[in-house]
Amino acid sequence: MIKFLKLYEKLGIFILIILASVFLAIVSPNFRNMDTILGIIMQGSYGAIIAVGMTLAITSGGFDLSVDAMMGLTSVILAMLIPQMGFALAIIIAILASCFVGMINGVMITKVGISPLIMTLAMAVILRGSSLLITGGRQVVIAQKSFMAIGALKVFNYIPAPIIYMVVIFVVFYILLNQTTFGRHIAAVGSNEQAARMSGLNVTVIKTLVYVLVAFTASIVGIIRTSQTLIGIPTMAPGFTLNVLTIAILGGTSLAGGKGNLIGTIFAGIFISMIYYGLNLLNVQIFYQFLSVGIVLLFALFIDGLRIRYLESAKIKGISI
Amino acid sequence: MTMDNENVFIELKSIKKIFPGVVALENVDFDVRYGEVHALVGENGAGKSTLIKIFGGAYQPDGGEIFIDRKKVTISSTSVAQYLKIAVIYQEFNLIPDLSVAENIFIGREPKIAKTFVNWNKLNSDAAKILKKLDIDINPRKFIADLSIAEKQMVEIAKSLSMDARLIIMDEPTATLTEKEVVKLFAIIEELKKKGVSIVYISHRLDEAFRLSDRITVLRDGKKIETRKTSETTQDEIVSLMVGKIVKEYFAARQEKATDKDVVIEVNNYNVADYVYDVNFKLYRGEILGFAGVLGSGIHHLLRSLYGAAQKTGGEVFFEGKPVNIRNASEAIKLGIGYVTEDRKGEGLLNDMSVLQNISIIIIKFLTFFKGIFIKQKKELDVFYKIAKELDIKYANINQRIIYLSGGNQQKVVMGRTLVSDCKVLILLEPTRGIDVGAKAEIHKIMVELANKGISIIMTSSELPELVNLTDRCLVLYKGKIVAEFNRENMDEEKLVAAEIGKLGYDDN
Amino acid sequence: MDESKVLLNSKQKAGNFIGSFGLIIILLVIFGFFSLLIPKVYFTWPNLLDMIRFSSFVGIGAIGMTFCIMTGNFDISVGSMLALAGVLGASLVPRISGVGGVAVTIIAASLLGLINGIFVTKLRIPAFITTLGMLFIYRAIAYIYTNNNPQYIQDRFWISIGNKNFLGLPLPIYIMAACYGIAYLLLRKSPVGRYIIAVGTNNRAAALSGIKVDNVKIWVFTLVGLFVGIAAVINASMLGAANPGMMGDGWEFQVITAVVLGGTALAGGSGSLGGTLIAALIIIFLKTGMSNAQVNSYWQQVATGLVLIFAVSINKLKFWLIGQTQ
Repeated sequence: MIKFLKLYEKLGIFILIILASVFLAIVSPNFRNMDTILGIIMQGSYGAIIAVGMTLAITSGGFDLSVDAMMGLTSVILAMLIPQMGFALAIIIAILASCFVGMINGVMITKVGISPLIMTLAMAVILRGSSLLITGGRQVVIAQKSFMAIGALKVFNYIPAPIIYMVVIFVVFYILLNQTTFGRHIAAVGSNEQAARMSGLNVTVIKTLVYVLVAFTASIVGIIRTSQTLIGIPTMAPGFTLNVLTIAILGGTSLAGGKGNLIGTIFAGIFISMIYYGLNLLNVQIFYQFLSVGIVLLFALFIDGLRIRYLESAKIKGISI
Repeated sequence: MTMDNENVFIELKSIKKIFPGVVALENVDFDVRYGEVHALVGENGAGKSTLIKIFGGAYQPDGGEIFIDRKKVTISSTSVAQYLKIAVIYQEFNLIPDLSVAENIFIGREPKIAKTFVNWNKLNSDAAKILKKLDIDINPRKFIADLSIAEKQMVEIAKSLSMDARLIIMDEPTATLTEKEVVKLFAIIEELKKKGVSIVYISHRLDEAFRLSDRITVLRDGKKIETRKTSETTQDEIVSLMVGKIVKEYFAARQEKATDKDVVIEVNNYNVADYVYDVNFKLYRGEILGFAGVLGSGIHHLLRSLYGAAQKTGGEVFFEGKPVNIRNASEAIKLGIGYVTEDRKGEGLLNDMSVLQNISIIIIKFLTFFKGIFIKQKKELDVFYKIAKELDIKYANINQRIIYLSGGNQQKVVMGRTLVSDCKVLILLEPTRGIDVGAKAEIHKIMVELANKGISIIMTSSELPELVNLTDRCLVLYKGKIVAEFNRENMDEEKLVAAEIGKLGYDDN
Repeated sequence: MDESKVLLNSKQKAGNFIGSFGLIIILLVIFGFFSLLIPKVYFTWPNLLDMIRFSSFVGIGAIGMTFCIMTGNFDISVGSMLALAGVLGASLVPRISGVGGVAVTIIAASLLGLINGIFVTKLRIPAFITTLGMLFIYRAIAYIYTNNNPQYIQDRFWISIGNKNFLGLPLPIYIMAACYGIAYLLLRKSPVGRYIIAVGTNNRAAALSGIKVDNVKIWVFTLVGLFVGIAAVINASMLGAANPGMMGDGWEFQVITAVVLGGTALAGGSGSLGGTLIAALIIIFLKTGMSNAQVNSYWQQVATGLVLIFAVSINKLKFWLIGQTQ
């Protein structure tokens, strides 16, 4: 069983993707077309990008439920600022604003000791309300058409820009998590916070920065989505947080903390996108997407729960694994 | 201190530490010289762990001063301790399971490229160097989660060396090691000594302390009793210092045991995976049966599984002659088996509940009317007052929360909880851990009275005088097997100690 | 027998004071503030009754959640549970009458709670994330079942539950009082309450005392469902319909806020039904006040988030003062 779980941890998501691909290739002739595949990956990139940040948070032993609201905030800030200062500066301010919110999350969680659940849940409500306040509850159209290039551009007239962003963010975060001391300290904090503290690591700073990074990825997706529609939407992507959490956990990052699997995260993002594509083929209502993501989440949790339990019992029995 | 003064690396002067209800350390003086192994011995609750936590910056003393190289210092946090080159190796290691050996050794001090990236090559080769210096054969790339306990111990030592520790404090380092590993550890300690590293060595095993140390300090009940040169003292002397003279007086008189040899529990070929192998024993009515053994002997797994709190993997249990299979605590309670944990804080006290509610939790479902829906409050109070009087529990009022009671009274409540459920067998693990001398005597008295009333008691204690003076019979477990049995006539502390460490008995492996 | 008070120092006294009287003071301050600000709308007997009537919706739902958080768990799916049970019951009214519909709503919600309990205990996954998944699944099923159509309730019995008066007081007030009465008996006068607190304060000690910890948790999640079911009946009755999308959207947030503001510790073990009730009143008094004073509804949303953070911080302060932080 442990072997199976270890194997699943490494390969599970790939097996799921292969199964899904074979299935889709059989039922949908369109799927054999490169444009369709790129489209699916692009659709998956939104969740995957934020899930990369979320993976870091889960690795550190926390999580963030306010990412969808952060996207809305980003979208609204862009819509309000682009007419006044052009999109370059607006983007910078939008990203900084999100990062600031992430920092508040981090400080409240580490310093005041509020649980990540309550803090980020409350933050989500506050951000939604604030975003609606800023625009007076309306959606705001962005007149500057050139802004659209950011999300809708195709590199070499072929690869959608969001895929490029996803790859870049993945590479940067992968190196950050696995090759820098900061990244290793994130894993250390998530693996055994007490020991990390006793070893002299500054747990407060590490955790706070992790929430800033989650916020950063959320605002990147907020920018992409806003640019594609050219509308500032205060209530953007309701419920997207569930997608993001599902992707991170399905990708093999354990809720127990300490181990982040970013490669798995990216592919889990694509897998979820394939499910959506499959559901679209069936022409069912959008609610089935919620249902399927919920079920996939429970499945991923089930596997994670098994893993935690077997590791525990192995530890008790003194089996080396 | 006399002429050796120049050699002193660290000196603690009249250190005091108070916890709610307990004085953990009272005016303790302690010093360590350069290149010295200083053994710190004492029974459980003597204050050893508190003292090392003060060394490591995890606790702040409530009084007293600390000097390093005769300069006054304040060890205000664990990182300050690191800065002062003091390393503490706790029993529960401070290693990070999901990081590699090399990363753990150098955590927070990793070699870097461009101040950002981990220099894996240097990290691993530096770690390999240190491990090699210690003659430890562990791949630095391995994850801590995949190591044995002995290997983790070695990594902890390597970690303290990597930060050039001048003082390493080892808390029971050999508790879970095999003979071979112990030999290796001792060689390492000798090596460290030669390099001028000072070591504070804490162990239950006196023979180790005598083999390694230059001086021995005895703590008892939070006070320093004496510091002696190891070469000028004997094990017997240290034992009597540890135990103290009052000990014989506070054990209550044990009535002659009931003559009828009623067997209450019989255990045959009992096994608990990886911990207990083919254990057989009988428990008689009104008997106090002791179990002795060091950490890792399997006693706790044996007793836990008898209560259904751990799973047995083989063997039979007969309760009053009938075969039983106890799968969880409620089945044990139904049979009339009670269990008092050694970890009062972790799994004994119901912190958010009152004294009254803590007593009645097991039997509350029987103190009801209307088909078990409503509590008969009068009945609950009667039960409470009766047991409170019997055990002489001191409390301010019945709604007082349990955590505000002293350790001794908390222990009485946890015992009372099982007693009110009319148990026939009481399993007591470390019944007097962490409570003061007066309360200890009271608990002992209660145990004897219970046995005189016909309740059978199974107990284990790491305080040997307790076993010697209280039990009718004592079984010694070593590596999961019963290696010796003593009765009142032939039992003494030396024999128990010898059997506990596998040096005596019929199965000498 | 007041010796225990001697043991408390001034910090601990301050902590206990925050716990006991803080909430009532907050409630009175809010009521006083809006009564002075907009006396003609706010400071009237009908408005007061109406506010209490509305608070029954949050107040009843928060009872089960109080139990749940006291065991150290969490159920974030209550809003979706409310909607699913509500649309199910409402849709069946034409076939099995209003009484049957009400019964189905309550039973369905209890079953959904039971499912949550089984998932949480048997899968051994943290409750918040399991129930987060359930939040989406239940909501999706509610949508799919109704094809996103509101289920209107024409039945007189069901409609009267939320809207009729008895002896000058709205029925929901009686229902809420009855629910709190039963819950109080359960928590303080019955072994069940002892088990809940024991599991929440130290589940290992509870297990050693012969309590079947998993069973207690499953029952508590079922109780969450039961009270959600009752709240669903009242909510659907007040609105005259059960709407798969709107019903209970964001309700979990109000419910959790009420419990936490009421002084129940997220770590489990200690909690207070009275606190939860007053906190539910605070939330509705504040909300109604802001609406009556024509505060922008988005501001209201921001305010609810801030209230929750404030509530948790106050709790932290309380426990810190009493000196019990773990």
